[in-house]
Amino acid sequence: MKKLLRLTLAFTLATVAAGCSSGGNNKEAGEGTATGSGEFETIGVNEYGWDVPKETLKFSFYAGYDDQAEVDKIAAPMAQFYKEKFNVELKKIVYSVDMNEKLNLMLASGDYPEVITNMSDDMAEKFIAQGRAIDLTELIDQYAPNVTEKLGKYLNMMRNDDGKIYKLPALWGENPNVAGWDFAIRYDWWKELGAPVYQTPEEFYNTVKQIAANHPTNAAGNKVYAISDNTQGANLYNAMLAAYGFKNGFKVDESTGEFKHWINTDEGLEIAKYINRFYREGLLDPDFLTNKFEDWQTKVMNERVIGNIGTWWHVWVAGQEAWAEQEQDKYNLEKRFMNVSVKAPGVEQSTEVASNFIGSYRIIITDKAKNPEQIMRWLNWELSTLGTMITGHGIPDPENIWDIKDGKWIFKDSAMQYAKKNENFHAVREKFGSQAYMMIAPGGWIKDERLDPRVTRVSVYDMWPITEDGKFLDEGVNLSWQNVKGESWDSTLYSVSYRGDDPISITNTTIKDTLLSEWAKIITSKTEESAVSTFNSAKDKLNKLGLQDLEKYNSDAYKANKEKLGE
Amino acid sequence: MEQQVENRIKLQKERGSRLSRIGKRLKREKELWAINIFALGWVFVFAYMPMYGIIYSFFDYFPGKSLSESKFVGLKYYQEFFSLPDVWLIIRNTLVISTLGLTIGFVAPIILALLINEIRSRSFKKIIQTITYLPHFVSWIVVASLIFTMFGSEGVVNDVLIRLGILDEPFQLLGRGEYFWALLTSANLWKGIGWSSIIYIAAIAGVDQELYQAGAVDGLGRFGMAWHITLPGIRPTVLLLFILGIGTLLNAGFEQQLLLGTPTTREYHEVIDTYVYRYGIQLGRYSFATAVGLMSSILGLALVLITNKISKKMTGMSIV
Repeated sequence: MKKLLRLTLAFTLATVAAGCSSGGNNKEAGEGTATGSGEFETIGVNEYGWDVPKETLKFSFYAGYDDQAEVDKIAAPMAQFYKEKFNVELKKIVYSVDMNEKLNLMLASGDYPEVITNMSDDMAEKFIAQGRAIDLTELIDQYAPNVTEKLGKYLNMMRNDDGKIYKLPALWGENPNVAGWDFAIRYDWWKELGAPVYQTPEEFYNTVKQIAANHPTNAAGNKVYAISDNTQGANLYNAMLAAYGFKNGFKVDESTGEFKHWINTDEGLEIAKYINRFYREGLLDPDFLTNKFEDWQTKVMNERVIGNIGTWWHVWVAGQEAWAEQEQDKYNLEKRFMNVSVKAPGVEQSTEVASNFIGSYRIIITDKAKNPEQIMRWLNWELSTLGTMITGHGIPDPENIWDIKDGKWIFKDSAMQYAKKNENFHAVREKFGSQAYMMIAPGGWIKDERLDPRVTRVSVYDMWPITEDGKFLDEGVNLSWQNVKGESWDSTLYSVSYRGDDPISITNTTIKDTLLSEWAKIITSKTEESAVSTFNSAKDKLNKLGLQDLEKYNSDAYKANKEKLGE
Repeated sequence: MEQQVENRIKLQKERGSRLSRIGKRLKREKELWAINIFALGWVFVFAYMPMYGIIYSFFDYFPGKSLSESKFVGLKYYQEFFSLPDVWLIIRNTLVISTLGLTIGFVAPIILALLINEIRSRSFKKIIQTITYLPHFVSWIVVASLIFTMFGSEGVVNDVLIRLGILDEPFQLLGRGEYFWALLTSANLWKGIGWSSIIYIAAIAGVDQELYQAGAVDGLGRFGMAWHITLPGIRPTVLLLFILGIGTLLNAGFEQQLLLGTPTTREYHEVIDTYVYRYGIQLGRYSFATAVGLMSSILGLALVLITNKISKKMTGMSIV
């Protein structure tokens, strides 16, 4: 009876609210409506679309690794804003320890907060398996229409075998990265060479080799390397695998759903020989296995690195962004890295831009939640576009990077310049609490009719304003990305979870560790013959460790995901 | 039958007299026990009480479950450790690194203490002692970054050697597995030699000065005095520390390996503790981690007792 009453009331309120919303405003449930608030006493919908509860909504959530004092400091303005305008008090808990270790301890001790976000899928599954995460299925139906609407068919990926939902994605959405794995090059040096077009790994090798011959040392007389790395060599093979069209490290036969790990393929051997050649010819920084990001960045900033086989943002952050900040007005826009999509010959489709709609992070409401209905209602608000804008970009204010004017979400002029991203997006964090309480908001692109007309799409992390003819507003971005194809592939189907209590998680970790160690040996071989023989023995070793089990596990996960998505 | 009753009465009397002896001793040494009461309490709370946790190694425990919900699996996790593909490699690395520490790392502080003892100037002695103690207070994070700065392919050492014309191209010390044990032992030595020498310096200070005077009369030189008087004088301390050190043979360090290791050195740096951390603690497999930890402790205790027995037989000295 109570349920029926609640549903009727919710339906009535939703209908009334829907009638009130203006057609062009693109308002969502939970924003300007009181959906599902039937059981709680509220005092009315505020200007941000939140139906303000009469009694303060209080709950705490654990969000991963960070410094609690720093987090509290950044969250202070937003905490005040939420208290005053929303009657909501949130407590964000962080620890300066590895999140998985902390979550395991929390599980063992039974001491965990009401909500946990930014956790891995494996950890979410652990909590679910131990009955510590509550069933969200009905709560979503009753209080969170935005979850259903925004996640669409991907919500099915969150369902267990019984069709129940215990976890939801955090930082999900269409990937805002236009580039991904790529073969970057110093733009000014490339131009100096006559801007030779390179589209294959071999052409990239020839280009950086020529530049290395022209620039053997930097201004201080230190050796310049064609490529370097700061991921112990992992980025080198990952970017190469993208050029060869591999998906998450596997060669996938989509018709049969068969997965083959790259080390078990001929392409894998080609990739190993290719990188080994850089090493043998002294083109690869000999410290690539020990470089931390900072060491590597120093080399990039000191103009000792010509190209990059890895991810676009590494060179972006270490290169142009750092140079622009360091050199200020003297900065030459052409002193930058150009990111280039490269494809191995004969490969139909490279896979440099993977877009996993559900992302890698999860949020759960735990059995400690005193008021799960209200929490779900809050999550629903955070998922509304305005909720995401406020949670992600901070309090709307003329001094913040965005403000609300006549119902439109207007960005500050300087926010249009990507080169000033640091001061636009990061410096204002402390003042306006951006991202301080982000739990479920998407990290991907959001679009809304109320968005600044100069902005075609925005994520709470970045903004890539585009002109009407499809060019980026920022000249630097155009220079860097003129040769990026940016064709993304949906990697959601390839999501796989390794549970700690499943022996496959040990196999996976062992193989990951061994692969990294063997890969380092392969590419640092003194001769090509030795590289080939090390590759073959690594292949045997990894297969003995259970690589084929891993291939099958991934293949099964892929098939199960396909079924869940009805494909 | 009568004989049996008599024996039992005798035994009870003996037990009674032993208890009263202990009681009397406790009464006699009450001040000493009072001083140690907090230390004993600390040991009980932090060293003995957590020991109940070893029971988890016999259950299929998973974080979030209670022990009663977990299945008893006996020695499953002990067997699992020995069925790991890299188990012998891990054991080899652990034993080699520990043995290097227990030989080179054990002898070096004794030599340093003897050398410091030979310094006549008090102020110079103090300076040397302070300099050698300092590395102990430097965290492994800092030590690791110092090592990378010094020995990287573009580090100070390579730079100097190339400038001097000794090397044509940088020597890859950090990325080569075969040098890892030497690097780690050297780093451990640098960090710990001064600190470990303190106890020997204290022991040397306790050696009877008359023995040195007698040695001088007998014509002993400084080396002779160190060999025939100082070393025998600190033998009990050396033996005690060696026996205790044997107990840590299966604890080859942890931070050092994680910080200094690279993928190419994995076959040389992976030890029991690093493996347990990554495959036990980080994956939430506490039963496995407990099993391996308990196994290491039992083996360590056994080694201590065996060494103690050998020492007792050979030198007449022992710790228990």
